[in-house]
Amino acid sequence: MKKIKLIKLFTLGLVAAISLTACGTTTSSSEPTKDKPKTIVIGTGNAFKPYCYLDAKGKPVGYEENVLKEVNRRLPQYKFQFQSMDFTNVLLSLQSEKVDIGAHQFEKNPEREQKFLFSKESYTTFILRITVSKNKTDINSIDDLKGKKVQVSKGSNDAYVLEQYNKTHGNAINLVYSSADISTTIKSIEAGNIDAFISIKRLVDQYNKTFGDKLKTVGTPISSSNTYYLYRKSDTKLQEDIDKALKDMKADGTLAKISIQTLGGDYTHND
Amino acid sequence: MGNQFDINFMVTIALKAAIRYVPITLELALIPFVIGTILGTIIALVRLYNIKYISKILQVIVVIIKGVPVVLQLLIVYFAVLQCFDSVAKTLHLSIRAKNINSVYIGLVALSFFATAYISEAIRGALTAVKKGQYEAGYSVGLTKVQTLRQIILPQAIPVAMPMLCSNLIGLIKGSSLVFMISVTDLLNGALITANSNYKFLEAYVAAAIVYWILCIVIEKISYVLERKFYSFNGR
Amino acid sequence: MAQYFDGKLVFEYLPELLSRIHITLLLVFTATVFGMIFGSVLALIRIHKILILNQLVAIYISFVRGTPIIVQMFIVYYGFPAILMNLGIDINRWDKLIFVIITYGLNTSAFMSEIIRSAITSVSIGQSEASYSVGLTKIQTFYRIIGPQALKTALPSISTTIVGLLQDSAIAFSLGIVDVMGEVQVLGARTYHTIEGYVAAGIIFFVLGAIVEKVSGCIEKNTLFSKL
Repeated sequence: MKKIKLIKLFTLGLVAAISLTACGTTTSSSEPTKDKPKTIVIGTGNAFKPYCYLDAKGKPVGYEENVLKEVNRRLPQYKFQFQSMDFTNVLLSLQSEKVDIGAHQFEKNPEREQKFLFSKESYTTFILRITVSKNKTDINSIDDLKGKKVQVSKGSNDAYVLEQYNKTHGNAINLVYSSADISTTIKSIEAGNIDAFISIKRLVDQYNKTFGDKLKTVGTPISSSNTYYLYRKSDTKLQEDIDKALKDMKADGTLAKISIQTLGGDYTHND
Repeated sequence: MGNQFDINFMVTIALKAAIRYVPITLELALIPFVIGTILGTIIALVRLYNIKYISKILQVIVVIIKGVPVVLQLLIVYFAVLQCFDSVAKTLHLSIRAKNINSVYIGLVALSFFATAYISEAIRGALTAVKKGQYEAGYSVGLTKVQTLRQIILPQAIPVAMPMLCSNLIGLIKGSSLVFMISVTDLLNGALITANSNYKFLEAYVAAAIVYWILCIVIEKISYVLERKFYSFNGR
Repeated sequence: MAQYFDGKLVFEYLPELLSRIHITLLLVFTATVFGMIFGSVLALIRIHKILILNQLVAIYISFVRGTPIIVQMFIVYYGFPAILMNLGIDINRWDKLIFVIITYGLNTSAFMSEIIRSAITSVSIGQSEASYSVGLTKIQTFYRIIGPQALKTALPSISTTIVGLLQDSAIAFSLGIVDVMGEVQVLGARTYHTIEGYVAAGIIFFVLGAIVEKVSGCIEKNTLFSKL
């Protein structure tokens, strides 16, 4: 028994050490200027095409990179550096000050706002739709999902949206959590193991091109949420500067241009 | 300070979620372990006695299963089942269809192959650790191969194999988290799912780690006790 | 099924995966070397039951074996720098690869120490008694009598652990280090053909694993003490 207590203390001690970083260390206090650019490290993903992924040579590419490069152009007092890692690690690295901005199509909600500072300006709209097999006719809206098995993943907001729905509709939808890659998912849909999953239209079109015409999106979008950049709670100056740059980019159409270029359409505002 | 480690979340939500999935994790670890031990012993014996062609074939199979990523084996079994099950079921006039099979069983099959390969190696190592002289002594007093094995070799081989078997079981418990790829939620992912809405992943990982650790400690204790018991035969 | 798996792609992807093999090999090699050295030290501490160290090592081994390697990665990557920061040392700028190597080394040491410990204790005590009685010191006994016999027992398990490391290296990808398994994910994200990627990786790992097995088999057969 004593050993177990020791072990638990040991773990908690280590965890406390990890969380100590967030409160203990100080960030550099000098004002960044054009001549002495402050290096800002951006944590972005490495396997989420077309938003953040790696090219054949291992360089980070994608929408996140393109938008932030343009932001950097407008904010010469900063020098942006990109580091790619997986979704969870972006958040952990942000907390422990290994990166300064989180860019992985993060969607806002009050719980998450407790922990992090979100940008005020959104830079993408994520339109989630129900995706089913081409020949399925009985699912046409979110209400039809009652009693059906819907596959959701950990990373995107699809689980969150459906969980919220379940809270108000008596847990009607059978959520199947999975980290299956897309071919496994499509196979499961074909075999009938799951009835639907959630995706965005552009990706579904691409899947159909790669795997044959097996999928279709149905019904109105189940969520049209905006995505934001993530900062530590104390980095309000950084957030303000980038928000201003984003606002300008929206006003003069640059953001829309990048979106059309990288995402194939203008996904930058909520209409 | 929003960056504090949220112990409340960890204990009330993440830990509870992790514990909820302990039965499935144990199932996915113990059943392949038992199957692996039975089949693994047979394979180890075949390879030990070098039975003409079978021994060589088994050697290749073991190397393949050990070398190929578990994830791939899992996916292969999954696709194979989804592809072929329906036609097999129709010919046998069974009423279940592939989509009614709980993916847990598919995971069990894949993990069993995996466990068998690793455990057979552990047992083979233990059997070769017993000096050849013991085998010869057994035969020279008139015991058959089987009797020699049961009464002389195995009691000496088991304590040698125990630590490896213990490692294998622990490895299976942690490795079972891969079944998330075929939509089976286990301990680790059960905890992580709770962090999806509030991004408190660190707390979720720690909660899962604590549960894993406790499971592991229990297994280690049992293994240690068994090891001591068997070693007493050797006069240590 | 033909649309889910395109055999041609497997061979197309092989070169891209092989381009990352140096990372995988680096991780596995350093982890093995570190693991065997540090693991032996830990094993000896456990066998001779050196007062306080024995308990500490036992807890360490239990923790490393009992928790997922990704948690250990977090502790090494986020926790250690935090602790050192409070002592005034800043190691945040170190290459991520170093943290990954440390994690693997520590992880492998724990598993290796158990293998080595069991191998050493499996050598019957008569051997060490006999060698002391002819005048060999403790260290000489270990190097000449116990060690080689223990090695023979441990070899299959060690080679198994090394082969297992090949697959474990996939965790490095979550921090952004792209090894062979990580490249499979990168490829999968770009082309959606994750399965062909895994098959290609499977071929690579199978070849590597077979080489490790062959080498360890040769060592097993050729040690002079195999006449036992």
